[in-house]
Amino acid sequence: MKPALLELRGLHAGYGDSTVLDGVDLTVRQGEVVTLLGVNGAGKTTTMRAITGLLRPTAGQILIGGTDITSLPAHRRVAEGICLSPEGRQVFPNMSVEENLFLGSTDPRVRPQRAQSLDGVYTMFPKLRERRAQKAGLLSGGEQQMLAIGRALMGQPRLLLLDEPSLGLAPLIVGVVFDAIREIARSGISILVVEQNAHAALGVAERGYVLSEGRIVLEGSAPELAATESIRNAFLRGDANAGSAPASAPPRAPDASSESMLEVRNLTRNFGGLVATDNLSFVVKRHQFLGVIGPNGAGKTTLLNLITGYLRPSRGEITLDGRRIDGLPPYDTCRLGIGRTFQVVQPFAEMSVADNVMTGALFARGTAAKIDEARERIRRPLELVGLARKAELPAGSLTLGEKKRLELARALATEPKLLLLDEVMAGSTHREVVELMQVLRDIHAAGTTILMIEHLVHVIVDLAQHVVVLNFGRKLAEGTPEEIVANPAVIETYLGSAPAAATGDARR
Amino acid sequence: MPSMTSHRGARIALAVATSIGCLALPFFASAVVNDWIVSAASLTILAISWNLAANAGLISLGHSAFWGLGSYTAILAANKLGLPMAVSLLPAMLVGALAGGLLAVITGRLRGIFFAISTLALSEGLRVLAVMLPGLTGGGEGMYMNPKLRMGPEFVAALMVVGAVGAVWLSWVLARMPSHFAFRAMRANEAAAEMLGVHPVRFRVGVLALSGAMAAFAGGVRVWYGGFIDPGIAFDLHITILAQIAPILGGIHTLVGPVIGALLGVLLSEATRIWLGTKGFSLLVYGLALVLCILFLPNGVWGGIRDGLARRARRLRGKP
Repeated sequence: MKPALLELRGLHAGYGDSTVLDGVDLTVRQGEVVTLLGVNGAGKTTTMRAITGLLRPTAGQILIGGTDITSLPAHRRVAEGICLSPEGRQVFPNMSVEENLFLGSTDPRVRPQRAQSLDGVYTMFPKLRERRAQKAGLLSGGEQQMLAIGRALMGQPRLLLLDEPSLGLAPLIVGVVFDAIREIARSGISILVVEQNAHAALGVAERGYVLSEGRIVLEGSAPELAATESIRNAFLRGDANAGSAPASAPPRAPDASSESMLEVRNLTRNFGGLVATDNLSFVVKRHQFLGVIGPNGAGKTTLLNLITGYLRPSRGEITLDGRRIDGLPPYDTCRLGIGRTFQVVQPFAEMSVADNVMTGALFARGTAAKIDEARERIRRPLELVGLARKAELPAGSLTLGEKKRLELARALATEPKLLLLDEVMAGSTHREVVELMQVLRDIHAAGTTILMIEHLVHVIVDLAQHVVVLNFGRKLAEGTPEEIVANPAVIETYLGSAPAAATGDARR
Repeated sequence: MPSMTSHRGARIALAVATSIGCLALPFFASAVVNDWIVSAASLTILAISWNLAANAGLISLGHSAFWGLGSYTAILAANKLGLPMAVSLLPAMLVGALAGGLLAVITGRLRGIFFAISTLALSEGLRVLAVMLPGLTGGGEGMYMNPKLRMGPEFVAALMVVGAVGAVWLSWVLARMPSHFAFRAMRANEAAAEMLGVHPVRFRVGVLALSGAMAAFAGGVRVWYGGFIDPGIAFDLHITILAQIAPILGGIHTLVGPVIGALLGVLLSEATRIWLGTKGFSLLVYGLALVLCILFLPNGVWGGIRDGLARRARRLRGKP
């Protein structure tokens, strides 16, 4: 067995008070390709940030070639041969392709060989040579990904870290990128690749780990992982060991009404040439708990922005209780009874928690309510989400999970009849997720209709009565949670389909 | 209950006594002291007016626009219509409010530096306009107020003090109204505030109209005090800068901050001018004092006091 190049031992890390990594152990040996799989929010990027030194771990060790580098600053780790191709590519948009690549070799160790490295990258990605003088911001997504990988290679890595190289790329381009990864591996560089697209990643890796809620829940050889049923569970349920839903979960409320509340008909929204929402139709019934799931970039948040009026549809219509609401500004949709939380939390940081919620209670009816009245009305929402004791703290001091619950309280203070939740569980610990699920059950039981976007599929399975699955802006499937989890098309979307170009290569 | 009532009564009595004292002061003061009173009171009004807009996230670099419009409207109302001082301030405030409201509508969703630059452009544009309309404004040569209408400086100073007290009262009342929540929410994140039912345009128009009217009042009274106006005085960049230095010095986004900042600003500039004589050197020291304050009291003087008190309270609680 080859010696270990990278070792993570009991790694803990987080942001502020919220813990993201909860004891991660992981090894990459010399010349090995290892993949780290997991859904959004599992802690994959946080692991990468800890390895590269962008985030200081709260506990645990990081070793490279047997030396402890836990306290080494990020730029010194590049000198140790750790190079990252970051999530979302992060190329410098106003610099040329070649300037981007040059910046990858600023370390004195590799600067003398800059010309050879550049040639190597251009040989691997001929597209980049063609576009060497072009601004990086004008490249296509696939080309930017090649540039990001090329920039990392310019640092002559011992260990190449790839964070979601397939993110937002068309299947064909994913194949091209993974072919390149395979070629890099052939040259003897060790690679750790973080992916949501499990099929593509397991196609190049020798071994893999599955990360869920900050812990490694599964590890094994790539063929083992690809074959196992539990990887599907890890992705769809967030728990590799549980073949079935936890027995303690209370039964879902029955799907009561047949009267439709929110209707979305043939909804389409383009951004330039990109179609974010594509001829989408579905209905939310009164008192229903509807779940919306789909991979990154499926158009889930765009859908909420269209319903609440932050975006206008290009085509199609949205009605609430029979009244057209598409194109109405957000404050009008709020006054019609739609409440919403944001995926990226938007607290009013300098205001106290109570004052944040007060704002919701004061203006939701069009004319401002009386302050004393509003003070009464915010009590219940604050208690419901468990923030009553922190009411006087500035909102900026809360943890991410608490900020998400503050958004929920603020939306509840507008007394909505339809509540739209965008990833309200993200950033919460396992215990908080369980508590929050009960809160949502209570809100629903009190008569509020809920549309919930969530990455944790097990949460949707436990809570929602009806599920809509989005992919590339279209409705992929619709049905009861049981039907959805068993649907082959959904499983393929979540695990990622093996790209045609990648399957042919027998290089592993 | 009776103790609370008497407590409240004492507070009101104190407020009334202070107000009468302030009002009476100009009548016993020398000309120099009257100058100081007018400076401090007008800067207080300007600072509160600027801080109101800043509370809603609107950073103005053009408060001299409102000030100058107030000056010109007041002097024209006096010279052309023969209106007395108190009455001439009504059209001045109206014009200031209209300019503020119009600015809010025109700038739409502009925020931060983009809004700031458009206010700067407004002020400069008005200055050029005043030069180009000599028939109305007297052009670059300026215009004198009809001396028959002018009043004693102590009356004008007293009116400015009344205005300052009114501005303080108004900002105090506003801080107890629902709009206080809307303004702060808009400042933090306008998009998120909209989802809570806040109609941003309405609040922007309201706050800028109010802010404009207040600054125009100060400008209007000032022209009655000086009796002369020209485009350079009316739309002076210095006014704009003072209007924002005072709240930043005293404590931005607070009630007391602008008042402390205005008084401290006048004190600092007068003290350096008197003791350090030559103009250039005194300005240097004045500037240095400001830089030091901003460096070491990032939340302003009032913020520094508040933080100090909080630290002390924590220490006392820590060691009983």
